[in-house]
Amino acid sequence: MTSTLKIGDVTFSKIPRVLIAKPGLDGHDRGAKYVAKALRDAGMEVIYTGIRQTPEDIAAAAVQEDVDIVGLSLLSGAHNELFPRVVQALKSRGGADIPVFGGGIIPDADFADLKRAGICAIFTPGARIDDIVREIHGILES
Amino acid sequence: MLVRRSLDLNSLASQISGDTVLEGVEPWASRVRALSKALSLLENDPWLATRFLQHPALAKLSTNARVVGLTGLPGAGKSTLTNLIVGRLRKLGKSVAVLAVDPSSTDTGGAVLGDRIRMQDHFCDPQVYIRSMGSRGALGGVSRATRGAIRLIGLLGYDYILVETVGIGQSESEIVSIADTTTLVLMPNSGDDIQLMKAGVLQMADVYVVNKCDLSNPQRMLSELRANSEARGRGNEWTPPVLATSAAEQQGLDEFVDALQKHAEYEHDHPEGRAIKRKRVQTEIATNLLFILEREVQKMVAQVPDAEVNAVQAGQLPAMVVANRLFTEAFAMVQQGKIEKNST
Ligand SMILES: Nc1nc2c(ncn2[C@@H]2O[C@H](COP(=O)(O)OP(=O)(O)OP(=O)(O)O)[C@@H](O)[C@H]2O)c(=O)[nH]1
Ligand SMILES: [Mg+2]
Repeated sequence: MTSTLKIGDVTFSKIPRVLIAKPGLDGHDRGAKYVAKALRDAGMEVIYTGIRQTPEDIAAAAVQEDVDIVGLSLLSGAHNELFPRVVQALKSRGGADIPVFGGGIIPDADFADLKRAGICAIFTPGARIDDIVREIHGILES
Repeated sequence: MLVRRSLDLNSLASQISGDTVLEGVEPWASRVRALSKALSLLENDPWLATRFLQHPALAKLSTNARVVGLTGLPGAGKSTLTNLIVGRLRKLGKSVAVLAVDPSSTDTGGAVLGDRIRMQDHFCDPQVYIRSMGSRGALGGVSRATRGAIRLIGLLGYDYILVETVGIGQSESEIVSIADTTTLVLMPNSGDDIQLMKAGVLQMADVYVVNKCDLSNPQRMLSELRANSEARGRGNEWTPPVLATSAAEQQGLDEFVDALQKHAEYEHDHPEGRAIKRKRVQTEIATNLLFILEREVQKMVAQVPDAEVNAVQAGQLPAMVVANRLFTEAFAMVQQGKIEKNST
C-alpha cells in the first residue's frame, strides 16, 4: 500500500470485532442490545459489557478484546463528559487507533464538540438500524 | 464479514516482549495491547501466526501458566464461577487470564460474545486479562486459535489461564487435551443431560462441580458423580473431586480453588500425574503437526489431475489409490529434502 513497507509488515483479513458498552448510570440497555444483535447479524463479533461501566472499564475491555470499534450508548445526558473520557482512556492504554461511536439522546448542538473530542459517528433515536450498520461498516473499512 | 488490517510483526513481537514500548503508554499496558493484537492475528490468519510465534523476540520468552478448563452444560454458571475463581486466585496473589469461547453463528460468522459480562469485577485489574473468542465453526467447544492463544498469553507470565468453553451438549470436547485441569460444571438437575453427553469429558474431567446448589437439592447428582469418580480413581493416585457450589451464594468456592491447586501439585509431584502431563504435551505436538500437514494435503489435492478426479467420480478408481500415490510421492520428496522448511 505505502512505500514504507518494513520487513515485518503483513496484511490479513479479519472478522471485525465491536464492543458495545453503556457508560454512566442509566440502566436502559434495549437500544444497546438491539444494535449489538444487528451487528452480529451483519457478521461481526460483538462484545457487550453491560450497564454502568466506567470509561476505564470500557477502555480496558476494548483493548483486551482488540475490537475494531467501540460503541457507547447513553440516555442519561452525560455524553459530553463520558464519551471524551472513553477516548482518553483508550489513548492511555495504547488504543488511540480504535474509533468510538456514540448513540442515545444527543442534541444536535453537541455533535460538533463530540466529533472534535474524537467521536467518529453519532446515532440518535430516530436512526434506522440498516443505516447504523452501513455506517459502522464504512468506518471499519476505511 | 471481513475487513483488511495491517500489522508490523517485528514491532508487535518486541512490544509483547517489552523490548519496545508504545509511545505514551505504560510498559505493561503496552505489552497487553500488543498481545491483544497478536491474538487477533492468530484467530484470523493461523499461518501468519505460526510464523509470528517463532519470532526471535518471542522465542526467548517462556510460559509457566497453569491452564484450567471450565466446560459443561450451557447456562450451568461457567462464566459466573470463572469470575469468582479469578477473584479467589487474585487474593492468593496470582495473575490470571481468561479465554472465554462462545459459539459463532454458522451462517454469518457473527457472534455475541456474552461471557465477559459476568466478569465485570475484574475489568480494570492490570493482573487480569480477559479475552472473548468466537468458536468460528470449530466443534470441540474451543476455537482453532485457542491453543496458540494460550501460548501467547502465557508469554506475558500469567500464573493461571482459565479457559471457558462453549456450553457442551453432545459435542466432542477438546478441552481435556488442552487444559492441565479440566473442570466439568453441571447443575443439580443435569442427570438427563449427562446421559446424552459423549463419554469424553464425563469420563475425563479432573474436577466435577455441581453449581446452582442454592436452587435445588444436588444430592442425587453428587452421588452419581461420586460413584463415577471413585470408579475412575480406583488404583490411581487422583480421584476427581466432586464439589457442590453456588455461585449465587458464593458457596464451595474455596474448595474449588483448593481442588485446582491439589491437582496442580499432583501433576508436578506424582509420577502418574507427570506422565499424564507428558501425554498432553505429545498430543499438542501432534495437533500442531496435523495442522501443518492439513495445509500441505490441501495443496497436494488441488494438484491432482482432472482425469484422475473424474475417474474417482465415475467410480472407476478408488480414492484410496490416489491418496496412496500422493502420499508415497510426497514422502519421497521429503526424503530428498525437496519440501522447504516450514513453507508458507
Ligand atoms: N441461582 C443461581 N444462579 C446462578 C448460579 N450460577 C450462575 N447462575 C446464573 O445462571 C445464569 C447463567 O450463568 P452463566 O455464568 O452465564 O452460565 P454459563 O455456563 O457461562 O453459560 P454459557 O456460557 O451461555 O454456556 C446467569 O443468569 C447466572 O446469574 C448459581 O450458583 N445459582
Ligand atoms: Mg458463559
